[in-house]
Amino acid sequence: MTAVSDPAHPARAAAGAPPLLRVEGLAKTYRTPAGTHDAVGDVTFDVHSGEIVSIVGPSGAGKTTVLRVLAGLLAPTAGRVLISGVPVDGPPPGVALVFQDYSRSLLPWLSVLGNVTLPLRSARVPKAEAAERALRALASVGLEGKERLRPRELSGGMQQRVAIARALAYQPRLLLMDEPFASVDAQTRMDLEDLVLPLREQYGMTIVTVTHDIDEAVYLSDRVVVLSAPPSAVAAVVEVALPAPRSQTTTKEDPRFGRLRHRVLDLVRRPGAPANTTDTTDTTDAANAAETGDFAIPASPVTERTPQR
Amino acid sequence: MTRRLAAPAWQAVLPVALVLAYQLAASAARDPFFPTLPAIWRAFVTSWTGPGFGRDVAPSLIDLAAGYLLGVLSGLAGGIALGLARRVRAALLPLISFALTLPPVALLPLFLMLLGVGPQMQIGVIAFSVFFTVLINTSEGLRSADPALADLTAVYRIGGLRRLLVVQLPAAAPYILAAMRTCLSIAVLVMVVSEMVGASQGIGAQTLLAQQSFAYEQMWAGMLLLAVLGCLLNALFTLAERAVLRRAGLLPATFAGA
Repeated sequence: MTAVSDPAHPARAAAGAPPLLRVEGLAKTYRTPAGTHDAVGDVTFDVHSGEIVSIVGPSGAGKTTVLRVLAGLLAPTAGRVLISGVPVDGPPPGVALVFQDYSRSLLPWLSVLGNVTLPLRSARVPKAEAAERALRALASVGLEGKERLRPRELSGGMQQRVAIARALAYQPRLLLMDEPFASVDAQTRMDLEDLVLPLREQYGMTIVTVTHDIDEAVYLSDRVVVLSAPPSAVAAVVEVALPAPRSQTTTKEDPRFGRLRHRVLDLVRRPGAPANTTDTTDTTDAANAAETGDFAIPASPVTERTPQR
Repeated sequence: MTRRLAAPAWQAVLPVALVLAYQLAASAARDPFFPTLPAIWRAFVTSWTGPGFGRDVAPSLIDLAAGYLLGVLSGLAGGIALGLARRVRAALLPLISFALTLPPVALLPLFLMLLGVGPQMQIGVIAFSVFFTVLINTSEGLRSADPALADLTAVYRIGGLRRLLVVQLPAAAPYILAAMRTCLSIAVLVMVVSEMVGASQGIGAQTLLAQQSFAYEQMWAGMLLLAVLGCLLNALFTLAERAVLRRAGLLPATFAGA
């Protein structure tokens, strides 16, 4: 485990307090008709209040599985997840999830406002307050005046903003995001990335995001948790000590950004190998990875079951 | 564009030709079994308008509406229960599948025996014929919803009646509406047959009576009314279904090229 520590990190400096999120020895084995698939072997990490942490790893490393366990949508085979010290055994209160596929997670028969207020109304927030919180969240993602439209009248990037606004209005302790910007174009992705960073300050949220985009992980995060190939374990936790506020131009031109990106990329492509900064344009790496099953198709979601409440 | 607009015109060619051919053949043959169109039309007006409307058409339509609504509402309620309770569904599925394959008209003798002759028999057998199809499709629609919706309601802790009414039922709406449309034709069919078997009034009863009393013009007028009724109800339902789905954002708001 090549955990790169950074004593100067603000969240660490305020240590002593228990972590908001603690993941202990998490393992998940899927049973499929074709046999068992050990997606997640042994994943352990902490997230402190106010941090942004990204989970990256090779394809099929069970990143989404880990996130689904954190959200209480999937029971782990072994290990446990604690949020504020309380074990997760179903979707915990105060945890929001931005799904990868916005087109499936927004209800087409509700207006934008209806979609954002639905969780609030369910949490018995009075109608006027729910609408006010929703409108504020929509404004903070740049969707003023769109609240009466239906999701399908908006572009893909705008729909994902609605999904983010829904999570913000919910005012969660912990915001989980599953490849939130994977299905939007590159320009929109940058816009959405730059949307998230100030939101953290504004709402004081703790964010855990899964991504396959190394640049995005380094750019957004305080720490990057790198998973190994399945059955995955934490290959490394890379501290990202880049100064705030970050920007698409200056931060990404910072030599430190380049070095961090390089290190994470090395870890993702060759998990377990010592992080180095030598040339990595080694095509055999990818070929080896393919052979060792790094690109294995994750187990069929048919075997996943949403816990019945 | 022109091809698009011409399509309905082409579609009308064959029916119009068939009607004309019938008229020519009927006026040439002078066969009492096959009266000419003007004769059928005269019988149509005398049988189904004026006192005939109140005596035969209105009771048929009232029974149809009552039986259909009863069947749809009870099917919806049962379907929701089955769709949400997996074990109950597993236990009842064989029985429901059996009931589904049963032709409702085969149960007419039973319904006659249990409910006697009268509107309650018609309403009962129509409701029965509608119930199981709506039931099974409602539960299927609820169960085959996108798993993403289950994740959504779980994470955001949306439960109870709100989950059912705001998330699950709208998601199942295409299934439920399709079942209701299918059931509308079944209900018309069952209405006619049940009136032929167990009623002295109503469109079906009058049509059969006309055949038995050699009033072939009236018999044809009855068949014409039933055909028009079936088409009209189906067309109205299709329009309503589209409007509902479009409002729900489950159909594109406008059709391209229109």
